[in-house]
Amino acid sequence: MEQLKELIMKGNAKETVERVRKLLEGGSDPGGLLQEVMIPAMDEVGDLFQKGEYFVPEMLVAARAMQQGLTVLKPRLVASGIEPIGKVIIGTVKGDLHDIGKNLAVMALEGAGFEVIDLGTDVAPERFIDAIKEHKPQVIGMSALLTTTMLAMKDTIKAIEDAGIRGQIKIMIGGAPIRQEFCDEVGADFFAPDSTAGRNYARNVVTGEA
Amino acid sequence: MDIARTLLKMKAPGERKPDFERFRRAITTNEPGPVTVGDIFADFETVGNLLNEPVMDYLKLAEDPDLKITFKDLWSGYKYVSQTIRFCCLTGWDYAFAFSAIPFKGVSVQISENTSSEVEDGKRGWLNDNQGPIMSWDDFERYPWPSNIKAINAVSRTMAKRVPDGMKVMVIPGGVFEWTTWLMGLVPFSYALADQPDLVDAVIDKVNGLIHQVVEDIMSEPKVGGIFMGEDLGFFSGTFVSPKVLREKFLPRTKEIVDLTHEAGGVFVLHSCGNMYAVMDDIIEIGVDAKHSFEDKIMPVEEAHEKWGDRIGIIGGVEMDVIAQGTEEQVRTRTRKILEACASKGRYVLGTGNSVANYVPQRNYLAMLDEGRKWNLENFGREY
Repeated sequence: MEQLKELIMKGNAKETVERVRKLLEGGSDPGGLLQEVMIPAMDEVGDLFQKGEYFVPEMLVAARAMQQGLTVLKPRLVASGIEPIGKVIIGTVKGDLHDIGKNLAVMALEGAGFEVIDLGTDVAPERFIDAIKEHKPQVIGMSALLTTTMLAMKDTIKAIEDAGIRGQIKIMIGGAPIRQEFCDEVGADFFAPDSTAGRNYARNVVTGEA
Repeated sequence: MDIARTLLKMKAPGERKPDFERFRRAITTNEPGPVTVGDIFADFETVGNLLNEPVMDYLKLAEDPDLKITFKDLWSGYKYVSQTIRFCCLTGWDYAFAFSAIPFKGVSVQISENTSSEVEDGKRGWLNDNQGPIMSWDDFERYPWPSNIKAINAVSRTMAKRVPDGMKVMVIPGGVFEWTTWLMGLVPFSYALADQPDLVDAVIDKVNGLIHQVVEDIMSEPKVGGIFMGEDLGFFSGTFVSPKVLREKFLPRTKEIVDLTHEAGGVFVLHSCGNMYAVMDDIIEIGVDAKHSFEDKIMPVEEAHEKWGDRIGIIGGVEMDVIAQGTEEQVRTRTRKILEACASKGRYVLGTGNSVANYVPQRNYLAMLDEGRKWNLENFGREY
């Protein structure tokens, strides 16, 4: 088990897959593997990223190892009736095509056991609204890179309010130009300075702590 | 032109002469004196907007994968040189900026609309971080590496021959880290660091070799004053890659370009966005003369100047959020605060936090410049 955690943290995808397979063949509980090994491994990766000890490449290779390990684990999880801990819809706002920050957030959330619906980049408010109605998530994440494109967050939140579904969801925002004052001004619920903070907030939402 | 001159309260042509040595002194010494101004570049639309005339849209050309250049494009390109010089003269820069961008084929740029608050047809190119033209050894072997160095330097060379007396050109060739990650895509590059480090090294060597040739060639022009390398090393909370990787793979290559520039008598300025301060001492160590690009959210320029302003020149720092969205008064207040903290101690050049982007309202950019002139008048009895 400890070895699997190490393999994920070091981003060794091939050996992660092998190790998950062997542990399952050896009778390990799929839910236990996910909850007690793989999610804590990605948690630690996120924490190291937040502390400035891991960087974008380390985060990406660890997430790749996690994802490949999950492809082996998922059928067994489904068979055991284990569900994601919550649902998040995420996207880069209209007019903005930058997505590395958003992708890091997706990885952190998936690594924490969330189902993430990634709407991609340049997402118009209507697409957020349609996705909320369709998927009924607990949390919405919005990202922007520029001081000009972040203004689309305000329009999106307004559109969600006008659609009468604001009360159903919590909204977190992040990106290079975002600050707490902007978060307060546009009426978002949380400013995530990095992907780990976003992951922690989403967890707090589903456990009722936020 | 007359409107712009009126807005800028410019003196008649000839009274305020550009002086590259003033810029050099400002970034390399702590000698007190009136603050000068500059940035890495101004967007094409910004130049056109100030001059009130159309300026060649390079982004439009870049959208065409086959890059067919017509006679009209060539004429517009030639005109662009004089337009850039006029923009820099009018706004009080001591240098003109020129791109010697290496035409790496296949770098994935997507264009989006509506990012400009200032011009009707504002566009912005976005890099695709998820892919690049070199993601395998096969891609590397087949890649059509650019080789016509004279063509790459054509605009910079033309500009160097046309700048007025006293003015020099700062050439923007792109940086080793930026070009490498653009060619490979940031995500595939990250995987390759773990899976194929030899491929990463090979791309870095090729890129560095080309930048070396471009710089060596253009620095032979007497009116080229130096290199303004655009090299974004960080994002909000840290460097993209670890300081260890930067120290091992990238900074030694950058040092080669710094040395080459210095040997030719030029100055080397690094434009690097994001929180790259973990390697700031290394940047100083390799001989970079000045650092440009500061974000209040990461480290206000005053703090950077306080920490490193006795060892490296500091350029810009008027927060993009303020200059893009603030009122004229807010721009003046922020500018004044920076001038009091930085310009009063020297080794500082006034500028924006990033570049004179097409979404920066002209009135705010002019307010920043005007505040600089007022500060000079109050402290030194003259505007420049």
